[in-house]
Amino acid sequence: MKSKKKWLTILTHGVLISFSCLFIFPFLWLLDTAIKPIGETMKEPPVWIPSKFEFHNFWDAITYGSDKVGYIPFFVYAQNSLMLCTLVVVGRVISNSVVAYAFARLRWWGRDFVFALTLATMMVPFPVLMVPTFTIFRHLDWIGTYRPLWVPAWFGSAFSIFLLRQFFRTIPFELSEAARIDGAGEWLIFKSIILPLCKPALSVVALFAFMGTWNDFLGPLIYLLRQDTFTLAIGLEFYHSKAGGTQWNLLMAATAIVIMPVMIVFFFCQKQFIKGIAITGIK
Amino acid sequence: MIQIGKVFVPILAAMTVGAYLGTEARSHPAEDRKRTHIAVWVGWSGFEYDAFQAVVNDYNKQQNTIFVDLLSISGNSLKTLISASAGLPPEISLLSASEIPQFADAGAIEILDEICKENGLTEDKYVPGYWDVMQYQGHSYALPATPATIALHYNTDILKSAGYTKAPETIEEMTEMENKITTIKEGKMVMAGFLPTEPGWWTWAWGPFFGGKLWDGKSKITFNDPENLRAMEWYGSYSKRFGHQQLTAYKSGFGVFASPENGFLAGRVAMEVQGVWMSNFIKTYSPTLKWDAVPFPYPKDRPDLKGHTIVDQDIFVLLKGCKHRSEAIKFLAYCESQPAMEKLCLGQKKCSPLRNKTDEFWAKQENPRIRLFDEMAYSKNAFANPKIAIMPQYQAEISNALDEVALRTLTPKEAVDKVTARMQPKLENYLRVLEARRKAGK
Repeated sequence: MKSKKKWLTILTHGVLISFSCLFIFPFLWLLDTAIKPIGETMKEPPVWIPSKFEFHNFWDAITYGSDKVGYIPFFVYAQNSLMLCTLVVVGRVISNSVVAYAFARLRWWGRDFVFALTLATMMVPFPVLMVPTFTIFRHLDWIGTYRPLWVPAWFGSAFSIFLLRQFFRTIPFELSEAARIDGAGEWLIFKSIILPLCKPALSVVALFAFMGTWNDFLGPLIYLLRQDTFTLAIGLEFYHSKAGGTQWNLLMAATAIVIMPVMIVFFFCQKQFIKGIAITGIK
Repeated sequence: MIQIGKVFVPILAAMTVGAYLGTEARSHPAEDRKRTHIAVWVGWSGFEYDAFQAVVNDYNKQQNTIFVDLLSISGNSLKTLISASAGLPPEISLLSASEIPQFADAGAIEILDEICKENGLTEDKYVPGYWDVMQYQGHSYALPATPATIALHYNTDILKSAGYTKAPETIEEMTEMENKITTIKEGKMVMAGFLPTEPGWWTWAWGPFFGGKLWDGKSKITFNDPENLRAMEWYGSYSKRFGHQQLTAYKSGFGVFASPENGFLAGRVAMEVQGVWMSNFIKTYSPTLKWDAVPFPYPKDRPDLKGHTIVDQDIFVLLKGCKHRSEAIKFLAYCESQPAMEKLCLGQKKCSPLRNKTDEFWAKQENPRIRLFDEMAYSKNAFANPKIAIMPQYQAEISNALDEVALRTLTPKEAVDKVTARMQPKLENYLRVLEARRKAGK
């Protein structure tokens, strides 16, 4: 019986490890390409172990072309991405948790209809909204600034509201009732009872917001007008030119550096993140 | 015990305020208010961008009333279209000549006839092929930036080892050479003479290379004309001769275009259709490769098609409703001057669209066949992407049809008929929309 269990564990782990290898392969390929000489990056059959380990590619990537006019100011772009992420993450967590609380824990007339309407906004694809939203921001004189990229995050997002609402509904209503009997108002209940219990879900919202903003290409492409305001997601595009070929090794090295913050955030938040995903049923 | 919230919340608040102040400061830098700033958006990067930035720097230095703010961004067409639709376009944008119909039909770009006349930017100043691609519905909608023509590049060593001392002149000669050069060992292809799928970028052009027309220029799709059918049969002959699976398996062994494993650069394809830029790639990825280039072969019974080529170019357009129109025109005129144009084209390793070229321009060119690419743009058989805004759909239909012919799921005749039948209603609908816009005065 014991040996059967042991074999089952080995089998399960074997399957899981095989799948994780499948998922980690592109990342390993990225790292491998990042340290290859350019001539070995696209060879057929592929070169798995580089003839020369060029770790300086990482430094070259972030100082790429600094001797030329078309220099990629990597650290300026990184700073821009970080500032934007901070504003979006904070805005998304604050606004969505308040809205989700109202949908999940308060009873008010038309609540379910408004919630359905909120969810319906997820059905509208971004390309349809591009020109109308651009026009609105143009009238506000916000084109060329970061505001179109972060201000909307302070007004809720349907997906995050849905996610948090699902989580808020799992918290026993008796807790709120008890607090009300003790004289607590809704704001106090929200701040002191509900929010501290929702760290996993808030982490998920924060992580999604961070990843979405860090990797966003289209938003900055449309709204930013000056080279020094660009984010890293756009900056990566400069590693290839229209007719001059792509510096694959430098592009991969830069990409590895660019995705590092997302990985670090995920590494530190993964416990909360997985818990949040599991409890809210978002898979 | 320190409460996390008491530490965390102020830190987060400070970070948020810091981020806000930082983004605001970066969005509104101190600007030189003495000059008029014009926005120029381009999709170039790397050495192409550097070449244009050098031209812009010269302009910004040589006068003190206008300052050109150059923005390099991939996806420039999309950005320009959205900004123009929302009424906040840049002054000038760099597009591909094939995009003129879309932008012109949408009313996003200005007609430049008067501007050209006033600034001496007339037809006689430009190489005919490059001037023609800027014309749409009888008007000039753009000014040339950097042009390109297409030729058959060939590996001289491979041709020599097969006993050929010169490149093919006709399609029939090329087919004969391919049959001799293409080698299959132990059931596997190890060398290809020519592959129409390599690089496979101009699938719409096979018909015109046989003398076909994609539409009559008015209201009819003519993809099922005999010349286009002949091109389709020629394309299908590769699957018949060598087997579709064999060809696909062989091509799958090539690396990406800009790599030493590119079929032509690796010496695995003897002949390939490529543009003026190919010499850059040869120099970078296969410096020992011996090559030459000639105009793409013509059908033996159509000597009138001799010297044909595809003409394409990056173009400057002036956006309707831009803030500083007259300043933008001044900058455009500067870009079209001989010194600026030659500086740009030399930097980008391309031909100049101007008829007159200095000796210095020729002397500094790194492409040994640059004069061939220049001459081809003068050819009466030079042709460009058809000037209809539905060309992206047409191109997709043609590519699908070619695939079906290669897979032999459709005969060439069925394929050309299918494309014609599918595109005709789309063309009619497009013309109806255009007419309605015209009537509405848009």
